[in-house]
Amino acid sequence: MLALDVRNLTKVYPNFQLRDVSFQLEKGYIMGFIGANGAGKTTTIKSILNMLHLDGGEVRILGKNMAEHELELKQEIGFAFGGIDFYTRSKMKTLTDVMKRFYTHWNDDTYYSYLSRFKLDENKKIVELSTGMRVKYSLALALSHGAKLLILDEPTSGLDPVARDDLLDIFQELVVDGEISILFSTHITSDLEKCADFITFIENGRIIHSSEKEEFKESYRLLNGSEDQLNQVKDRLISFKKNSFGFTGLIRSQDFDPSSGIKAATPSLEEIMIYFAKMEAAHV
Amino acid sequence: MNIAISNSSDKPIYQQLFEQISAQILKGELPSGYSLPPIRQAALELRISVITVKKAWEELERCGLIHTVTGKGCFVAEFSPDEMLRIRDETVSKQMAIDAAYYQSFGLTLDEVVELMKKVYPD
Amino acid sequence: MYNLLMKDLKLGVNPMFLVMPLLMGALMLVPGWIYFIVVMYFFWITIPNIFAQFRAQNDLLFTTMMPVTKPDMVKARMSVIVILEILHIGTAMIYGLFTIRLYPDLTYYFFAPHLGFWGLCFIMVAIFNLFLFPMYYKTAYKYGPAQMTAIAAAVVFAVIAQWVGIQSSYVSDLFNGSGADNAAIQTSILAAGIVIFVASTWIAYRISVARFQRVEIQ
Repeated sequence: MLALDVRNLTKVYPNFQLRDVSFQLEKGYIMGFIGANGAGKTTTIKSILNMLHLDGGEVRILGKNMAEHELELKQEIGFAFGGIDFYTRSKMKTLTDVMKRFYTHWNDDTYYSYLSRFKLDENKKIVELSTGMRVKYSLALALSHGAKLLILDEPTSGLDPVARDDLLDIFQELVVDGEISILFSTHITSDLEKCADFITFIENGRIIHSSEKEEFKESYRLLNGSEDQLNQVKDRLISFKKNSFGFTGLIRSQDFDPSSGIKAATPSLEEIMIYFAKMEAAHV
Repeated sequence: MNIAISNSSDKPIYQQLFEQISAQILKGELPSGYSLPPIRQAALELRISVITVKKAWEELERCGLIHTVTGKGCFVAEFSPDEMLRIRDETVSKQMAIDAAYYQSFGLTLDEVVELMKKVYPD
Repeated sequence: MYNLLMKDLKLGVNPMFLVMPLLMGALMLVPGWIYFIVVMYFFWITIPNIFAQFRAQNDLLFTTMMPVTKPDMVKARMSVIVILEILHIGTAMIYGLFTIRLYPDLTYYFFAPHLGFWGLCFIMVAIFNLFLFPMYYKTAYKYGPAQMTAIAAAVVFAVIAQWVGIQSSYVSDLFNGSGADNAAIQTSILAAGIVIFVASTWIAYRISVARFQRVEIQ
């Protein structure tokens, strides 16, 4: 079953557009949504949540159309834009008391077990929480209302390495039963190397690639060679960097001839992102 | 079952998993009938993605090293000593094919490779 | 909708604003003043503070994340404001009763706080609402222009009403003279004011919802 099914989203702004964005997340898995700042991650997420008026396309969550079943589905989704950033002068307790009334499946026991697991003191004010604690608080809220799909926009940005590692651990624990699915956007690709099952890569409003992580990385090759070799493959490269020793460039695996003798390696997610951004920059 | 994952290795993680577990099975360290941890549990313990473990388990199954009992989990398969040898040879040959291509790229002959191998192979 | 209302009252509206009617209403005790001003203090102080608070606390995004409909969001927010408006007029009316008893021999130049005057106040607030909400819900974010326009409209109404009240002997008689003792006339002016208030707030609600539906949450 698909937890999230995004089909052909289109949204046109005067100087930016989301073009034909499609990807699918299977239930029980973690998907990393990567792209440079301004590539369209947040616009996509807001479109998924029905916060924007789409010019085309459809979003299905847990098998239901989001536009038609928004209220019902919002009971089953948890989301966070960064950490919680509302009513920061209020105590967590006050905010929770207000919020829980909106959710029919709210469970106080679950809530308190997450609070103690995340070491959150509900008598603290939001403003007193660190960035990491705010993300954990929004996770606790989402999980206590029984969210099956978590949509998190940049949950790890602004966290120190220890807090980030901790959060990624939590993500993995959440999907262990195969009931909860997570989509999270980030530009810190090292977050995904370990825990993400699927990667969706957006660049300039278009989905470049969405697939299982290893498959994603293996569909590209990072080439390293001399200037002569560069001339052989130049027109097939996505983009490249030149230096006095030769070049480094990214190519689609299907465009690469392994017998050419050019040294090739599997790129990291970060390298893929960088070379695509370079290509975009060259086209502008 | 011992597994050590290296993130800095050039090898994909599922490949590392597969190699380490298959070696342990073929050396007899994991007896037949040994129950492998559930996929999601293993992913959580190893701090790697669910799909990665799934791929490794699938690869082990394809090679006939483990079998899946629906609803119960994955178990190390039973095989005769002959079969074990056959699978071991198959697995080793696969790696050798990759290494052979590497040696060939230097223009080494088979004899030269064997000579060199004798020198570096630990007793 | 009830949950949203409670949310606004618990999180968004500082309890101070619930005490304000008592403080501002006390201005009714100033003898012979322009009593429209008493109600206007609500527009000048409470409204901008409340809207600023909602914006500063990122309320729009917060509310959008929860399972609520846009019409309910508008309905809850307007209800909060309307409750406060009624509280303000209500307490001012009570103070007004004292004013009339305290200064029995005072000659009122401006409107005296009889029931009919409160009818005019309801009309003033009705005009305020009619401008404030539909303009605010064009963006659900920018409250400045909406608030300025609404205040201006309310002031224009108050000035004209008061001017007519002084210039026209008929109107003056109706509100401050012999008409003031005629309970039937006074009550019907008040009732008319309340009807206009309800109708105009309802229209404001409908326009606001239609506009808010088109708003994208940024």
